[in-house]
Amino acid sequence: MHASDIATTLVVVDRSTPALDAVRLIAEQDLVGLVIAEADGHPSAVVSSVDVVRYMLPGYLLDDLSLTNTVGDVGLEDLRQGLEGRTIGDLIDDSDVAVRSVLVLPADAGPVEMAARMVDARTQVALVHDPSRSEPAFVTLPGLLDALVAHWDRRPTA
Amino acid sequence: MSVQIILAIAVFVIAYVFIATEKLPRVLVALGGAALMVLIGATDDAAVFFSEETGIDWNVVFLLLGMMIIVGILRQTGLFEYLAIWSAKVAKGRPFRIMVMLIVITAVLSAFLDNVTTILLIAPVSLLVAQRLGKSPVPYLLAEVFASNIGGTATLIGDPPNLIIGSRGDIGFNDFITELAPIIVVLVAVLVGLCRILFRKSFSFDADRAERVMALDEREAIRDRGLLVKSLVVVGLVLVGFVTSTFTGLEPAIVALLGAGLLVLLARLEPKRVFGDVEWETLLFFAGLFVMVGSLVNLGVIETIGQAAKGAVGDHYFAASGVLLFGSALFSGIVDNIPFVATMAPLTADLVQSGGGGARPLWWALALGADLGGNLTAVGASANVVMTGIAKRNGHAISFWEFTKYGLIVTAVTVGLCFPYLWLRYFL
Repeated sequence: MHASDIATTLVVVDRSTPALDAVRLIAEQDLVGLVIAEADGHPSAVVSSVDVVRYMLPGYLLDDLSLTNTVGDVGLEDLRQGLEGRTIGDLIDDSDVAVRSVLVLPADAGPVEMAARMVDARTQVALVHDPSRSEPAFVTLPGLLDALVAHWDRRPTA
Repeated sequence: MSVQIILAIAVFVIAYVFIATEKLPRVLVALGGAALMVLIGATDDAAVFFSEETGIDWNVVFLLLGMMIIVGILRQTGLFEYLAIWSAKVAKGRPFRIMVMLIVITAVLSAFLDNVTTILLIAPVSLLVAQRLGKSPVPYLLAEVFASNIGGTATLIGDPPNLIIGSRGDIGFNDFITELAPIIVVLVAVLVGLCRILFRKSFSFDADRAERVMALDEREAIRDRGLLVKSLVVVGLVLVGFVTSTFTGLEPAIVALLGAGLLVLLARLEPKRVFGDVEWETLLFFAGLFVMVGSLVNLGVIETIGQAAKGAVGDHYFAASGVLLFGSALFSGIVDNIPFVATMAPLTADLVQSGGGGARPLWWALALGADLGGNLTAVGASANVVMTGIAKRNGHAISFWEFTKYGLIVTAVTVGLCFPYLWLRYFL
């Protein structure tokens, strides 16, 4: 099993993508993070879903968790309004949000190498360098773990 | 002047410059300076650990430690958030009334909590309320930090310089209340008036926005009612302990430690939640400072300066109080007021000891100047630095000069009013 075997395509966003659309994308596709592309479409960075949520929440609520339950339903609407007019570019520029360079894995990377490199880079998404593909392909951590578990399940019992 | 004295003064001055300019972490400078004082023989282990006059003032260190533990547990109850939201709703979402309520709450809390903790508690809820009002939170945050520095002046435990003054001057909790609280009440009222003028463009009323404030549910801020009850009981006992310390003979530090111990026993929280808010760096900073200043006392440097000060002051204690009040305010507005008061305390003690009761107002002049002077600039007090940090993180950066524009006015008016207060109360 190599990286190219389990690689899959992901929706890629860019700096001009509205933040609200990005949140919808994560929600609808159960994404662990977003891949961000340069203007030429080349994937360059990854932001985890946790960091997108971090961007969505006002800093004062994170400073004082006791306030989080006081805001009620109006607070939910505040979150939506807070994202209006903001883009992925604003998110990238926010110093509180961790945006990582995309990890590139060789197409022939094995599962242990993939796991170790992704842990080392603390990322859940990695780009697979596979010249044979026309579209960028990615290994996701859930995809990697699926493949690992499937491999264990196929192992003959002693 | 011996080489040892010259070296000790050099260590002290260089350390002071580093603390003032914040080129290095202040705890590192204070402990490094203390170590150098030991190495050059300006002090020794007996003095550092066991001398009440020239060593680490354990009363101050342990009073701070005890209060940090108590406040650290109390803040987890959500009480302060409850109070702030409740006050905004009592004000019916009207911006100026909300500011008045927040000023009063901040000033009162700050008299019993340290100022940084007060700001950490009140700033997030103010940002929430301002967001609901559709207003800039900056006027609210500035008003609160001014109120915090003013309110903290009222009690022995409200501001760290007061702890040093209380310990070095043998001044109790009740003395601070009776001597300083009256003028502080006046100054809080004056601050309200000043804020009305300074931020006059920020108080337009919007009924829809007010409704959004009224939709906040303060009861949801209280997450652990049992802990709240236990904490309030212990805080009540500690306050009774402070007030009655003259009769019981229990030092405020012992009262705070007993209260902290009782609350730890009752709360049954994991250690991280009990001690998470203890600022060990601040405690070590105090220890290092006491050793450095104590070394100068050991070598007779402070006594020499004290003699010169006595010669200059004579029996003109009113004039000396004025100089101390305005000088302390100016100095504390520019650099950390803790090392300033730690240095001035032995000098003031000398003057008060030689001058008797007539010179005692010098302590109050020092406390008022050092504490209120913190409002002068954005770096005048730790609470200011914390508040501007929170504001910036939430997208409302307050520049040094924007802070100073308002701080200068508030400091000039509040310190200016203290001068006639000292005259009317002690010298008329």
